[in-house]
Amino acid sequence: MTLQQVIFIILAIAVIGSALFVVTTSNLFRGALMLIVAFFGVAGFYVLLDNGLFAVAQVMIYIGAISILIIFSVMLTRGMQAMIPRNAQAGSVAIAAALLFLILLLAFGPFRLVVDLSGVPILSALFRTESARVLGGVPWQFANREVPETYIADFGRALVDLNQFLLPFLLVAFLVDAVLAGAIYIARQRKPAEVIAEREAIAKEEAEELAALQPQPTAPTLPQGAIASTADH
Amino acid sequence: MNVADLETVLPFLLLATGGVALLLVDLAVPQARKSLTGWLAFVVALAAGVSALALVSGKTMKGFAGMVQADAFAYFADVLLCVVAALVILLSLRYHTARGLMRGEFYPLLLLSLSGMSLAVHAADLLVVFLAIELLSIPLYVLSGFARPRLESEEAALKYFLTGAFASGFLVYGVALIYGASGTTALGDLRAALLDNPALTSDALLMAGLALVMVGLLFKIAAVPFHFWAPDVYEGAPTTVTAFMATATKAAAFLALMRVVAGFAALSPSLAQPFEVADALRPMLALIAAITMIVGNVTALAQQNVKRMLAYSSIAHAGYALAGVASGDATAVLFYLAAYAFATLAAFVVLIAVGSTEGNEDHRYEAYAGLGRRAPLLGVIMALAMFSLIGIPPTAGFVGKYFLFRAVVASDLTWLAVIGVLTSALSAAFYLRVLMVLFMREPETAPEAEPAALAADAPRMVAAYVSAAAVLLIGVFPSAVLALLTGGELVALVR
Amino acid sequence: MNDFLPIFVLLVLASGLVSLVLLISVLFGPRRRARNETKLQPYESGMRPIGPAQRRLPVRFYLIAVLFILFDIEVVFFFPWAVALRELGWAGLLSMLIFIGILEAGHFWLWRRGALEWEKMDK
Repeated sequence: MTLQQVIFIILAIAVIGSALFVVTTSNLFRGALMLIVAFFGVAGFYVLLDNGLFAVAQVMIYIGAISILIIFSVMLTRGMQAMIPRNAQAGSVAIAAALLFLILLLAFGPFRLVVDLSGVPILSALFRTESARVLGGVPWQFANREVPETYIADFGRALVDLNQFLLPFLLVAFLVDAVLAGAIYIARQRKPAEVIAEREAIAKEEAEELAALQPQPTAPTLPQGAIASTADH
Repeated sequence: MNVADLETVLPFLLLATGGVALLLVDLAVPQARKSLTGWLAFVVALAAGVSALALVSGKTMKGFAGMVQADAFAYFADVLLCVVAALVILLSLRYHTARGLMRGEFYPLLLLSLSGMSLAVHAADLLVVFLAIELLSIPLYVLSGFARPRLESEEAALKYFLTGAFASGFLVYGVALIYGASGTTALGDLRAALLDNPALTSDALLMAGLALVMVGLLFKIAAVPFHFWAPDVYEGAPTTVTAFMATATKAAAFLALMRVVAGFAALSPSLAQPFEVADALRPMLALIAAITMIVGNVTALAQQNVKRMLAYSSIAHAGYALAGVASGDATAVLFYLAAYAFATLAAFVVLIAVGSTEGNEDHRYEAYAGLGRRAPLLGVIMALAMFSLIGIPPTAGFVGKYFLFRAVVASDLTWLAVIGVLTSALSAAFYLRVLMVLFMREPETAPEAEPAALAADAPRMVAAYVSAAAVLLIGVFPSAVLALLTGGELVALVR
Repeated sequence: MNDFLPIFVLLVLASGLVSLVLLISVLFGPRRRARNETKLQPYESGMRPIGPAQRRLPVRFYLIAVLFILFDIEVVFFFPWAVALRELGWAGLLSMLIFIGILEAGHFWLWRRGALEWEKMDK
């Protein structure tokens, strides 16, 4: 075993262990803290893949920002720290997940189990072509190139290059703007007094408009209806 | 930067920059005059629609290193999306004032979402598909929770966000697997790679990626196994946002779906016109379409609320359009989506008119009793919308369904067309129930609002006339719309 | 990868030190069971604790965290671009300026809207 493999196994144990803790603990706050360990382990994987940039990005964004947001969210929510969540589906979900994992392991994993569907009555009718009937046995391809020394600069060049990723790059900026506007709208606290004042002003305006539309004196019932309509919810 | 590149996504650029600029302009608009922001957004949406109309041609152009594609389908969808959005803006002016929702953020968010839709229909690369779907979804999460102190609206936003984020996870995971299997995210390259290397077509990794991407996209169109979010979100969101989601979002997601399906066309041994559906995908699409049609229509039958009924109706119509996707006829699907969009919008005009005037936002059937007689104009518009949704001539819905089922039968899926026709007949039951309530039933209590109030708002009436006219005109002169759609040679969705 | 070896060593040293300190206090610390409530209370320099230490925070903290994430993402994009800046020339600078321009529009908006000020945030 090389040093890389040893480090990989240590990281994998740390990531899986902390991730298991996150999904099983009933204390959300501790779960959020353990999530940081999992994130850090993933950053370690990036280092093992010779991609230090992504490791740094992982630490900056996931540990530096997203974990903080999660911890804030826990603290923002009343009674969430002492909550005991109940999950009636935990058992069945665990079985389903284990089965799915088994199938993935057989189809994609080291066992390379190949299933020929041509003998199965219903499934073989679904796939008309020969080739689509065979599932599994993925011949994984290994990258035989080293990560180039200049990969950070290459990445930077690709981002702003018209012939590479300029459009997705600019799209991210628009996406961030949309998130910004949305987050601020969602986060603002509306004070009840403010809401009521606003509705009254609107009801008044509406009544005036309706009165202007209908000059005859049968109108007086309308403003009341209009006020009721806006003060309702 | 190349001008030709910009041209391929001009509507997107107009909408996105317009949306961001409108955010800034809105800072200077006083709270009492927020409808000004709405009018500016209206102008931007129309400008983008006009730019798309001006660019329509039979040619297929690639831009930004093949990441986006401009063709007749994309521009047609752009025009449709922009018109629908412009009408939604007209509808929202009065409704938002009445509901206390007149906030400046609404219109920029609507434009940003619209820009994502416009990009989604131009996408020729899975990366762009993903980012565009995100750009259209994130503002929609916020918009569905726009009536924020109201609990239903908050619930809608939370449900939509959680399920939507989950679906996005499926989508991006699928893209990653496809990239792992084929080494590319460009749909055109993917198709070429599949043609070059037949071994790739049986690659389990690729198929798993395709399945995950499909899950993500089928969620957005609310096809049946992934439809559970739709009724609650459609019911809880402000009615204007529901109208926007039910029409524009659906059309955009369908076009993105068709582009992805076309990218995998090479999985099929025979390359037929006009765009091919892989043999591996066709049974799946047909099956989902059949289930969606049945579940959507049967569940709509049981609803007691018009808004919720329209949500199930939108699920059912996703099933019809999906049957068209399975048949491989993109023209029929787009035509159907246009017909469906205007009919649904016309129905929502009535809902929004009611929501803008009556006491609370009550969309139960009983609340609509006798409305057709108190406000005949709204009654007629609703009747037109319902006839079109059932598919009765001379409305757009009839022509749309005719083209669609003809394409489905032509592609050897007669059983699917039979299910479609049968469920359409079933749908008449709940669509006609609305009309019966509207015209034949007396209200239990004396109505609070006068007929004049229901028809008072000029922009809303313009939207009503435009959508009703579109329903009729598409129904009577379908060839004019088809000419715009095909604009010369019918091009493949992915080159 | 070798660049990150010091960080790995630091991690090992840090966790080793913490484990060591904990181990020492377990081995040599006094081990008396707490007999009463007072002994289990947090040490507050002799003051009586008023309430639980974990209170509900105002939603403004969430806003700050969201804004932090967004601008963090921005910075991550700057870094590789800055490494390649010299060879990218004017075209690269222009592309990045457009990117920043779009983001700055959003930044300007939230600034003018008062989202960066604690008191005005709820407007």
